[in-house]
Amino acid sequence: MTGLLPEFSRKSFIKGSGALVAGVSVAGAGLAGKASAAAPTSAGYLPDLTQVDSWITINADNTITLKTSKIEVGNGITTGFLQVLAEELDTDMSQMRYGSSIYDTNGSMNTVVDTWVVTNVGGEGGSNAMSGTGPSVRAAGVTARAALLSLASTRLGVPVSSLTVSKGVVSGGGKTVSYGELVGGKRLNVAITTPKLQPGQSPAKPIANYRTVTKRDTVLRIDIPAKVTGTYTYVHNVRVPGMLHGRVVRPHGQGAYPYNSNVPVRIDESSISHIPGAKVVRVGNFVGVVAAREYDAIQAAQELKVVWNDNPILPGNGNLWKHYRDLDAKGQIPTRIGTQTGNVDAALKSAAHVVSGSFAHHYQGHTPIGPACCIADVQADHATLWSNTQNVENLVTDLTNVLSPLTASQIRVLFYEGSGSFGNGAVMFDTAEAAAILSKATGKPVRLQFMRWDEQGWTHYAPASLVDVRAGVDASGNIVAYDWTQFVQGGTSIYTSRELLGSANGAPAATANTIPSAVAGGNANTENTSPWMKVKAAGAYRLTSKPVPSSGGIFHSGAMRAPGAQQATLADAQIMDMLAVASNMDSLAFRLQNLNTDLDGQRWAGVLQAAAQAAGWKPWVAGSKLGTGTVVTGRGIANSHHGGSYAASVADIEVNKKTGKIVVKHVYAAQDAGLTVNPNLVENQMLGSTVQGVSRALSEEIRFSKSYVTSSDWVTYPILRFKDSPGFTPVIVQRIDQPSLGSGEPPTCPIIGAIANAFYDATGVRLHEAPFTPARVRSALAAAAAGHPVVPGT
Amino acid sequence: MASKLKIKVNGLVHSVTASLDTPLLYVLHNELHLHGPRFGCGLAQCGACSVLLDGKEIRSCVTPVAAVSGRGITTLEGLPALWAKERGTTAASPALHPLQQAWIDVQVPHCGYCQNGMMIQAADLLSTTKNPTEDQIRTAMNGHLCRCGTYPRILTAIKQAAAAMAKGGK
Repeated sequence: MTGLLPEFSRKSFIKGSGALVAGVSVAGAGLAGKASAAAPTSAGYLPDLTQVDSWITINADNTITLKTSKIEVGNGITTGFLQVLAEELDTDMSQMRYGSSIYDTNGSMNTVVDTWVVTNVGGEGGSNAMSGTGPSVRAAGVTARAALLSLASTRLGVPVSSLTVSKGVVSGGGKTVSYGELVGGKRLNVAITTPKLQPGQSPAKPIANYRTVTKRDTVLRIDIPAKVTGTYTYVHNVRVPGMLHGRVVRPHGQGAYPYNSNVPVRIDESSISHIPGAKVVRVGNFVGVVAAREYDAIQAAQELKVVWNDNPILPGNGNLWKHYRDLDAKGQIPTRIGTQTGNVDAALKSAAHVVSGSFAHHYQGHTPIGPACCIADVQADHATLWSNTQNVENLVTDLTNVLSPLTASQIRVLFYEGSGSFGNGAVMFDTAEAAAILSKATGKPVRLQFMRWDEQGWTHYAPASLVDVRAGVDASGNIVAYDWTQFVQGGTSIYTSRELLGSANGAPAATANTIPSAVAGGNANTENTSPWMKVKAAGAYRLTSKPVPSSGGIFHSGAMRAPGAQQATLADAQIMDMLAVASNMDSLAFRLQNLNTDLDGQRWAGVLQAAAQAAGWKPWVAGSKLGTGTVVTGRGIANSHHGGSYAASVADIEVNKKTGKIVVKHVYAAQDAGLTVNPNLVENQMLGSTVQGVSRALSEEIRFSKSYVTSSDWVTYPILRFKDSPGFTPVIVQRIDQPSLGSGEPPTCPIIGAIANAFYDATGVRLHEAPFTPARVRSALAAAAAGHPVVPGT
Repeated sequence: MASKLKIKVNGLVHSVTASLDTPLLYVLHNELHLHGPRFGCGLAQCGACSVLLDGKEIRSCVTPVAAVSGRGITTLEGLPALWAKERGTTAASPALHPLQQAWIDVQVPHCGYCQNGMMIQAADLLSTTKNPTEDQIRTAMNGHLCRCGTYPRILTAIKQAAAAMAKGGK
């Protein structure tokens, strides 16, 4: 087993393809035949995306290597891409290789993606891999197959039309030749004429001829065997000879952004003098430690005495919504009307029924089980980083900020998988910057891993959101008015380590204890505010953004799995349900009646009906059959989406009215992501999206004092546990006539709405603030019993 | 102060150099180069670092290496040999423990980072409860966190492994 461990020789990475193969061969990589077609060089490898050789290498041993910058985050995309390619090339999955991945002797894969090898098709995010890059992979496969058949025709003296292919072996006229024999690692030198081909789009293989794509359980995930035997090489397992272990030293949670709560005022280096070999690294306001032994570095980071600047400008727990309303009252939050159709105020006035509500959703964190890790080896003329970033190419660009005078062509990033990502790009960039800073300062390779509190406390959180919404229906249950106002902040794109270096690196200076200047806020969610409803085009519809500026203190925020969807669906799905109840209609029937009638509307109807059918849905008016007793049950439905796919979920829940605890008993989730390549793999993604969505809806909240985030571990940021995990029934609405869409996020969007609507069905009470913790549930029930309306922030 | 220690891992005795209070996890990862036990929290809250100590699940991130001296540690890598021993076979170890086979059959992992602890805890459970009920599985597994949301498939896989083990394994 030791032979499979990636012991990297520093020399092997300096220059040239031969050295690369030698270096990675030590790690057990099956890279034979690769070097001649895609030789990485220290000048950087910038392939021409129109050339098939930039995407695919046909190796001499008749294996096929696909090279894209998309990475594996446990979503199975490496399997999915190779399955698409194998389908077009008529090869077997056992022949397929991904990027620079390392293959164990039993054939299982360890993902490696090297910026000096792959085509740059951008990072992974927004469920864009199969939808955006899948058609390019298919086009490359189609082009390669045609070129290979042409070569085979010449070699075998048989016309192309008389050739057949199986497992990458071409047969015709009683003779055979393999792809590997035809090309043997050399270039095909063929241009891709149609850059993207959708499934079945000529000249791609007709869908009717598919062997594995869309077929259940014909292809299993290639990364799973190594993951269950313990041989999988995560970025955490990478070792470089002579490397030191590093840790960052920061408060255990971030303060207000733009920072200056996180500036060291005084550092007592003698406080770690008892730890052998531990050394403090301070560059600007960045503070870290290094040591030869990992546990020494951990202890040094813990024990180093630092006095931090205290800048208590955060609103503190429980005050966030009032803070937003106060800023608005003082005129510090602008009002931006986005979409507007019809006369909303008039339509509300003349509506048969009007409902309204305010819905608040707290900050949440990505919080993977394994904190981010990066190994950096910074030399005078080049740098190599091993990282679990979702975007290898952008990381190279970002690192030029901290590694100047090195330029992008002198920086190489090797992706190794980390722990689940969920859009956690900021932390991966932050750790890479930190490792680079530590390596540059010490002149040695440094392995930096975040501690739990660094990961929990320093991510760019899913932003908090406060929505005020009003909507009206006519006497027949048709929505006639929709008026949405959302307070939300924008994302921040500078990463903490670089920020701490100071103004020389493009970060704002942070020395004075002042209220930071405003940073532009975010926009109201356009994706999850019932755009599928007829009211948007035909009625009166208004979307207003209240971009919350940073003045007065907010956190770093960014994209988290299905960005903005949960925050918006909390409000939108409940308003839809309130309209259904006001119309005395079944929640499903109300939605179906108000959908657009175009293909988009039909696809929404498809997932709503599929989820309802799986759940054995029987029409009723939500909340019309309230149970008695301490523990009551309810059922709710919602639809919502991200990345173009369609998702609907039905949730069955149990509420203990005394303790306030909600248990989600079962979820029926339907998804239409166009042509679904690998149904089992996608059902697993739907499962994960749902369970994580339940966790976010019920318990996840970043808490904070006036100075810092205080959610620093699994006690202070609890996530869903095994005992409370729901049963799950996935339903894939397979649409082979439609392009593939994203599958990593959709069911995480509607679940919060389905739970909230189920809660109303069980109790007759609306939930206005998420997560729905027991304390909040008790408070909502008590307020309803006392007849007090709940409006967050007032 | 670093000391020379002997620890028994997956049936082999290893000499390692570490201070006595170093958590076992760092010795397993950095000295023995094992990938199974993983750092998650360092606080015994998540279970990513779990190993079996004389057959019982412990959190290696908070267990000082000195505390395991003279006792047997099994990591994820050692589960196939453990299964062979439990069955009393003297032949070469099977490639996979029935739990690992079930994890593949059910296609459990996403990122897989926490799955080490899940399989270790499940091995502990099945060593004492051959045919656990769903409630027993949920209770036994409750101290292990998964962020990708794989709990329902883990539940299926444990039931499947239990059935396979009852029949003597695959």
